[in-house]
Amino acid sequence: MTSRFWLGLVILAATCGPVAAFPKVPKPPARVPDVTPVHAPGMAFVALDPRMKFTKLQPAVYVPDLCVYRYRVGTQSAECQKFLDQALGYFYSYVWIETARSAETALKYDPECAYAWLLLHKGLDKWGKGDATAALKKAQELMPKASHREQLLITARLHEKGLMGAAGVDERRKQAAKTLDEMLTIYDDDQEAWFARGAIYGTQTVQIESVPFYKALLRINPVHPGANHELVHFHEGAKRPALGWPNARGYMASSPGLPHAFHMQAHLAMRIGKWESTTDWSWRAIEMERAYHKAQGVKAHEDHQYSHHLETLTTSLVHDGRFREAAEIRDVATGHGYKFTQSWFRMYVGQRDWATVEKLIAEQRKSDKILASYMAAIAAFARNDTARAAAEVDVLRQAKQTKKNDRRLDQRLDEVQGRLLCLTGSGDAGIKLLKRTVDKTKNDYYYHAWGGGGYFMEAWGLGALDAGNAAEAEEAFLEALAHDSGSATAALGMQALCARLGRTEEANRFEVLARRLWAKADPTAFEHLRADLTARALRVPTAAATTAAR
Amino acid sequence: MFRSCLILIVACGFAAAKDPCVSGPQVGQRPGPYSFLVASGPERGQPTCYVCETAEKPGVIVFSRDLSAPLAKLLAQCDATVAARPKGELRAWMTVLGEKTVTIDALGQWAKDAGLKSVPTGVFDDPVGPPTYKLAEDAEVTVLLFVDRKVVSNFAFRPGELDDKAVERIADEVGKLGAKK
Repeated sequence: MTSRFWLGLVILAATCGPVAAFPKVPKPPARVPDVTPVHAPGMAFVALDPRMKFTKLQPAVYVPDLCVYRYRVGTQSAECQKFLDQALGYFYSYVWIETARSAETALKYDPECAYAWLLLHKGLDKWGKGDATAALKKAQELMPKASHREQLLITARLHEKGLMGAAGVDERRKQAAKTLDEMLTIYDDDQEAWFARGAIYGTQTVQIESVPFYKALLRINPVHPGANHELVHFHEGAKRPALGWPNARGYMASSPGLPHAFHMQAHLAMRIGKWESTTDWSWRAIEMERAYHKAQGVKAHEDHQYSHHLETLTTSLVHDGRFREAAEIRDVATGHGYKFTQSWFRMYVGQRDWATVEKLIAEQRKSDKILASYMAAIAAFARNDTARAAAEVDVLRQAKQTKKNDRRLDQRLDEVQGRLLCLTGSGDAGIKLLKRTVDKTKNDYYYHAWGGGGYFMEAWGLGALDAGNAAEAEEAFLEALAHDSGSATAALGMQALCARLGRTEEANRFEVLARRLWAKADPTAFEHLRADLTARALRVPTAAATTAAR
Repeated sequence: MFRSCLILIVACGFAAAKDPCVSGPQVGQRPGPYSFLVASGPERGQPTCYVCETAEKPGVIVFSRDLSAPLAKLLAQCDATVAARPKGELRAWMTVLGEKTVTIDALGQWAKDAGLKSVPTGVFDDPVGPPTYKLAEDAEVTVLLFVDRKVVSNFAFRPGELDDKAVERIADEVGKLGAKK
C-alpha cells in the first residue's frame, strides 16, 4: 500500500509538472567551421572547438529531473557523478547519443573515473559511432584505481566484448555471467550488477532468462528505469501485456524527464485498453522530446526514437478522435519527412475531409496501387458511394489473381467485398465474409497492437447495419468492444442500434460510454460518427426488435 | 401529520431494504462478450473474453466490487465443481469491477490465498462493468449462471448480503449446471 502510494505520488509529480524538464536553451556556441579556412591559424580553432574528443559532440546539458536513478561511483567530483547519473538515465532509455555525450561530459570533470569510461563505451557501442573499444580499454586501464564493484562490472564487460581472451559469443557470455554472479554473491544490493546480469541475454528483445534478474532488481529498487523498461518490452513480447503495466508506470516514475518512458506505456496501454491516459502520455513524450532537441541542439534525424514516438502518438490521437491535434502532429512529422499514411487516411475520413482523402489516395496510387484501392473502397463506404466502392473492389480482386499468398490482401479483400455485399442486397454473404476476417484475426496478437484489436469487428458491425441485420450488428459491436474497450465506433454503433430497437436505457448507457471514450475528440468528429451510425441503423427494420431485444 | 409521514417514510425504507437486489442480465437473456485483464490462471496478464471461449457450454460469471471472505468461499465452491467436471465442460470466472478496486498483482495474490485452482480472476477497468450487463451500482456481487448463451440463474447481493446460506444456494445451482442427468 505504502509503496503504491509513493509510486502514485511520483507518477503524479512526474505527469503534473511542467513539460520543461529541460533547462532553458543555452546560447549556442560560436559555430566552428567544418573546414579550417586557410587564412586562419588551425590551432586557434582546435582550442575554440567545444566538441568532445570521442563523441564529437558539444558537452551535455544537465537536466535535473531527467531520471531518479543514482549510482554512486568512485569519483570525488560531484559534477562527474552528476553527469554519470545522467548518462545512466539516458542509457536505460536507449538514448545512446546522450549516454555517450553525458558520459564523456562526466569525464571532463574526472578523466580517471573508470565507470564513466565504461558508460562512454556502452553509449558509443550502441550508438554505432566513435571508438567504443578504445573507451572500454581505457576503463580497463583505470581498473586498479576503481572500486572492487566497478572492477567486477568492467571485467564482466571485457569478457562480453572478448577482450579477456575467450572466443565465441557463448563462452564470452558465460565468463561475463560468472563474473557478475560472483559479484552478486558479494554485493547483492548492487543495482548495476543485477541489470548487467539480466542484460547479458540482450535488451529490447528480452529473453526469458533475463526476467528473474530484472525482477530481483525491482525488489531492491522498484523504480529502476532499466528493469522496468526491459520488463515492459518483455511482457509485450510474451503476450501478457497486463503484467507489464506496473512496469510501464514504474518506468515513468523513474524517468520523469525522459520521453521514451512516456512513450513506452503506449506499447501496453493500447493493447489492454488504458485509453484514459495513454494518448496524453504519448503527447507528453513528444513535447519533452522537442524540448530536448532544442536544448541539446539535436536534429530530428539524429534521434532514432522520434519517428516511432510521433507515429504512436498519431495512431493514438486518431483512435481517440482527436483529429485537430493529430493534424498538428502531422505537420511536425511532415516537416521531418515522416509519413504515416494509414493513420492520416483514417483521420481525414473521420473529419469527412474528402478532398484530402482523394489527394492522399492519388498520392498512394503512385507507389502502392493495392493499398490505394483499399483506401478508396473504405472512403467510398464512408460516403455510401457503392459504384466507386465496387470499382475499387474489382481492382483488389484482380490484384489477388497475381498475389495468391498475400495474407493482408486476403483480409482487406474479404473486408471490402463483405462491406460491398452488405450494401448491395447480399447481406448474409457479406456478413459471412466479414466474420471470416474476424475469425482469422481475432486471436492474432499482432492485430491487437496499437489499438487495432476491434477494427475488423467494427467493419463487421458496419456491414451488418448496412444489411439491416440487428443481431449480427450487436454481436459485432460487442465483440469489437471486447477486443478494444476504447472503440467509439462500436459504442456508438450499439447506441444507434439500441435506439433504433427501442432499447432506450441501453442506448443511453452506450452513449455515455462513447462520450467518455471520445471525451477529448473533436466535437464535430463525434457528431459525424454518430450521425453516420444512426443513418446506417435506419436500415435495420424495427421489426427486428422482436428478435434482437432482450 | 408529521408523525404519520415519518412512519410512512420509515416503513418505505424497510420495504426498500427488503427488495431483492436486481443486477445483470436476467433469466433468458444473453450474457454478451466482454474482455477483462486476467490476474490468476493460465491467461494471467492477458485480456481475455471467457464468454467467447465458453460459447454454448455452461458457465458461471461472478462480478464483484470488493474482495471478501464470503466471496472467496463462493469461488472455492465453484472451483470445486469446475475441477470435478471433465476439462472444459464447465467454466467459471470472477471479474472485479474497477481498476482502482484492486491491482492485477494483488488480485492474483488474493486468488492464491483463496486456494483457487480452476476459477480465473481478473479486473474489468470500468467500474460500471460491460454496458450490456446493466450491473446495478448497489450490487456488490452479481452471479450469472448460463448455458447455451442464455442466463439460467441470476443472483445479486448488496454489501453484506452474501452469506453462507446464499453461497450454499448458489453452489447448489452451480452443481446442477450442465450436469448430466
